[in-house]
Parts: sequence; structure tokens; C-alpha cells
Amino acid sequence: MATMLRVGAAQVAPKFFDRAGTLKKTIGVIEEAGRLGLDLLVFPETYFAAYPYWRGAVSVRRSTELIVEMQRSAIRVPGEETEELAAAARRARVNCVIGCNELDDRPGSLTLYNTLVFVGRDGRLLGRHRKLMPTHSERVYWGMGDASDIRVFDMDIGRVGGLICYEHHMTLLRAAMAIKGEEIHCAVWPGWWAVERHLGAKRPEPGARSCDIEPAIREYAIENQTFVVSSSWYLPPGEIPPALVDEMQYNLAVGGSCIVNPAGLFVREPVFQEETIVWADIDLEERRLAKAYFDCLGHYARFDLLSLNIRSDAWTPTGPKPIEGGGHG
Amino acid sequence: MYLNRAATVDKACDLIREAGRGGAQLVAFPEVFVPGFPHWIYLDRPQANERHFVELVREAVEVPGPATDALGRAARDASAYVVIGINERSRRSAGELFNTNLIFAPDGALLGWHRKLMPTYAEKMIWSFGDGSTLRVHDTAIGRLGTLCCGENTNPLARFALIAQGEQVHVANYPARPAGDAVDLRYNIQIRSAAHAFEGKCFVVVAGSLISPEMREFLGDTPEKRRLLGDGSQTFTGILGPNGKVLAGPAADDAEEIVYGTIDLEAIIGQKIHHDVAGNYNRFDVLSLTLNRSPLTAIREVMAAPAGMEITGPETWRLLGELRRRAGSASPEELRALVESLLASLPAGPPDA
Repeated sequence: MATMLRVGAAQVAPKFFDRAGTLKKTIGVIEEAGRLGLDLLVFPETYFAAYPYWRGAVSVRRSTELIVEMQRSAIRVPGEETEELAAAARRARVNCVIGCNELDDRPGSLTLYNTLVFVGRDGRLLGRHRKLMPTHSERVYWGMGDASDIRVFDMDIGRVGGLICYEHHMTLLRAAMAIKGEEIHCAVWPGWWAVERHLGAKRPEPGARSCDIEPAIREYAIENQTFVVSSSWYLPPGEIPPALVDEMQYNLAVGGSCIVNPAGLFVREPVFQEETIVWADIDLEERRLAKAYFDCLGHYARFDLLSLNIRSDAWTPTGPKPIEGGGHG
Repeated sequence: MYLNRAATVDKACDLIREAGRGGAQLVAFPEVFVPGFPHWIYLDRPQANERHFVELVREAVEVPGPATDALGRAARDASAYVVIGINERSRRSAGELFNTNLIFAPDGALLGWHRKLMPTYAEKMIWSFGDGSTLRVHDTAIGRLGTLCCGENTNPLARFALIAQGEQVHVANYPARPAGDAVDLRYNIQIRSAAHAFEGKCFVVVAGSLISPEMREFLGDTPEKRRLLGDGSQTFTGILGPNGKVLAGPAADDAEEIVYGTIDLEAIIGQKIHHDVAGNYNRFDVLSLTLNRSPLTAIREVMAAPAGMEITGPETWRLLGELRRRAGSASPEELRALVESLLASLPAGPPDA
């Protein structure tokens, strides 16, 4: 297996609330990544086709109407859109990890999930990760994932996993990803922000040092000895639907995509305020040095004292079902 | 006494004693009565509401604690069972709350509690969710008693879990909504209470809250919020019989009132003849429910027994089972005898530490 890889984050705006328009644009971005020679491309949190940037700023009543808009532009996994995305990934020879609003595939349900879709460049839909616990008012918009969403996927470039936004602050979930054997980690976010005194009061600010993304992904890389490809939203003002301009007071989409190595150092510093593919060349061999010094799965662990319980079944209306296929651990 | 734990507990205790004097053997209070329902979640932006959350945590109830001691004393004074909704403070986290119904026995003991399994919609910003360990029906002198909070009364599987444990008296409690609200809460509560009564062939005691003028004053600090709050409440407080009919109440819209009713548990039998979903009207070979009793805990601590001290004897396990079955009903003397046999069944003396 080649150890030199070219990985990148798609810091591009979707066509907000527009499923067909977003699909068309996404295929173009994947083609562009192919021309750049990327092995892996990561799109931001619920890039397909809306993040609720109005959350926290509109009444709960109004948010209900907007949930319906999110439903209308969401995709199913698998579905027509994932088929087209997988075909594009195959044509461009780029593995893709894509944040989306996922409409429940359970007949009768219209619940949305905050989901990452994993597509291999062999044209296969590898699976999905649903955010386990939406953050604060996000709970109004999205359901919760379960144990079947704690997954790492075998790609030709290694074992690739992903977490969504504040999942990076969930101690046990980070540990679970390491236990599943993750080698390359995809981190997705709605943007980049400044924090003042407490986490509820965020404002968009390119390059803000108070943003919790930077310590989270750098620590993630050190703790789990992985590379991190971090993908953040950038939403040019012209792409905001006119009806939402006043309500999107929580618009944090100023970019901030970046790439970190297993020593926790930036291979590519965060990039702000432009639609672009943020990419870098990485050498998987760098994991060896990190693991030689600190291996959370081996010589630095005390599994005799501390071990992690990870459910081996998923919840369904008719009871727990064993988790089949995909993933490790 | 909105967002004031001590004053609300005092008020609840006074009401329990008053209901006791009125002959009540069961007293039910609204959802999260102590120290009140976070109506602000429907009035303002989430970020603007965070200061209220801090106040709510500060005035929430520790279980057990001084507030539950006081409520227990009032239950004893009234010789009544009490089901009361509280905001319960988490013991593991300084910023975590549960939406909990406490159940007190007439001797003042805390008989049990139920944590709401899934907060509804914007309530998810306030409360963590409960688990199956509290989805229980309690054997009491006034019948088998169960309770669900608010929207849980529309969760068919949660309702069936109580019905299938032989529930005879069900307490459903609710907050109030503004009178002009698009949600017709009064109608909704009556429909679902009647449905539960009819399906379970049980009595349903419903307690709903009010939005008092003082609460409107406190919550309505902008014209928009005052518009949303309107000038009245809608809720439902009353008692329904196992045929689904309202047999007491409902209370008037905006006046505080204790609704009294008399129930006859024997009336359940006649209803069950026709339609018993916990028994002869079901097909458990085709459909049955799985209830996960495991408490949700952040850590599972394990400690191996010292060598020679493993509890492996069948007699020890038999006695432990008996203790569990009879813990709620055995007399102190019987309990003492059981514990003594249990100890006697263990291997002799522990090795020196």
C-alpha cells in the first residue's frame, strides 16, 4: 500500500436547501479533486444541503417550518444521490466522505439524522456514521445514532473514520474510534468561531484562537495517533437563501478547513473565507513514530484496569439487532 | 412559586395536607411542579434562555434531600400516596437535570421515581433522558400505581409497559400551555388519558399546571413573549375511569383547585371481561414487548471477590432472589431473618485485608 497520500477538505458551499443543485455541484467538486490527484476528499457537517445556522436565533416554532425544508432537501442512504456520488467517486478515483442531512430509511419515519456518508473510489457506498448526540438545540433537528454508527471503514488508503462537530469532545467516542483501528480521521464542522466566556456564545471569526476546533483536532491526532482531515463550511453571502438572511444569526460558515498529522501539528493551516479544496500530501509512515512513542491501543494502555463497553447491537423498533458488516473492533 | 424550590415545596406540602384532610389517599401534582416548567423554551431563542436554565438548575431538587424529606413528611401527615413532578438534579453532573415524578408512600417513604424517558422537542435542551429502570408499577394499598410524564402518555410502548405490569391507577401529569396556543392541550390530554384508561382498564389521575399571573409577569419581558403567553392557561386536571369516561373534573381553566374523585378498583374487572390487552385480548405469541431494565450509567465498576468469597452457592442466590421479591412487603422482623439466613449462607469469615 502506498504510504504517500493526497488528502483534502472540500471547503465549498452547497446549493442551500436544493438537493438537485447540490448534487450537481458536488459531482463537479469531486471531479476537480480527481484532477488534483486527491486520494480522499471530505465535505463538511450536513453539507448536503443545509446546516441550521438559524438555530439559537429563531423561535422553536419557526424551527419546525425549517425542519420541513431540511427534510425536503435531505438524502436517503442508500439512495439515488448516493449512487450518483459513488459513480462520481469512481470516475474521479477519489474516496469521499460527505456530510449530509439523512432522511431516515425506516419506512414511515421522517426523522433527520446528521450523517457522514463514506464512498469508496471503487464506486461502493461503504456506509454511514450518524451523529450520536446532536448538540443542544440541534436535538430539535436530528435524531441520534446508535452503536452501529461507531465505525471505521476499510478503504484502499487505510482505515478511515469520521466524527461530527462536538462528537470530538466526547471522550469515550474518541477512544472507541481508536479501538476500531482508525488511521485517517475525518472531522467535520459548521465553520470556525470565537468563543467568549462560554460555549453558547459563539460568533463567526476567521482564525479565532478561542475556537475549540483547533485543540480538539490536534489533541485527537495525538491521542489516537491518526491524521485528521478537518472540513469546515464556507458559505459565501450570495449563497444564503434571501428568506433566511435575517434569521441566520448563527452563521459560522467562514471556513477553517485544515489538516493535522499524528504529532498534532498542522500539515496545512486553516484556510478561511474562500471556496476551495484545502489539501496536503501526507505520509502514513509518520504514524509509526507517533505509535512508537505513545500507543493508546498497546504499550500505553491499561486494559486490565480500564476497558470500554461498546454495544454490539443497534436499536430497532423490534429490539436490538446484531451489527453486521463494516468496521473493526 | 415559580423557580423557587423552598416556597414551591412548602406550597406542595400544604396542598398535600389539605388533600389529606379532604380524604384523599392519592395526591397527584403536575409535571415538574417543583420549581416549575421551563416555559421559556417556547418563548425565546435558545441562546437567550440560558440564564433561565442556570436558575432552574439552582432551584432543582436533589433526591434524596431536604425537599424530598419535607414532601415525605407531608405525605405521612396526610396518610396519602403522593406523585409529584420535579426537576431532579443529577448527582453526576453539575449541569444535568431530569424530568422526574417522585412517588411517596403514606408512611413518608420515597417509594419510587420515574424519569421521563424522552423529553419532547425543545425540552431536549433542558432534560436528560431516563431509562427503563424506572418504568415501574408499584404495589400499593390503593392498587398498582404507575406514572408517566406528559408526552410519554403518547408513547404506546411505554404505556403498554405499565399496563402489562398490572397497572390499576395511572398518574399522568402535564404542564400548562397558554390559552390561545395552537396546541389544544386540554383536548389532547383528555383524548390520550381516555385512551390509556380504556386500553389499560385503569383509572387515570391527571394533574395539569397553570401559568399564573406572576409567571406571566416573570416570563413576559418583551411584547412578543407577552403575546405568546396570552392571558390564560389551558391544561386538564381530572380523573378518568377504566371505561375512558371523565368521572371527576376537569378543573376550571385558570383557578387553582384540588379535584377529588372516588375510584372503585373492582370496576376494572367488569371492563377487563370485554377487552384485556394485558391478558385475554392479546397474542403474546405474536407480539410482546422487550423492556430494557438496565440503568444508564457512565461507568460500570467491577471488583472481584477475594479468593474463597465468591458468591456461588445456590442457597445464597435463592435467598437474594427472595430478598428482592419481598423487600417491599416484608415486615422488619421478616427482613432481619432473611438477611441473617443470607449471611449464614456465605462462606465463613473474609480473609484479612
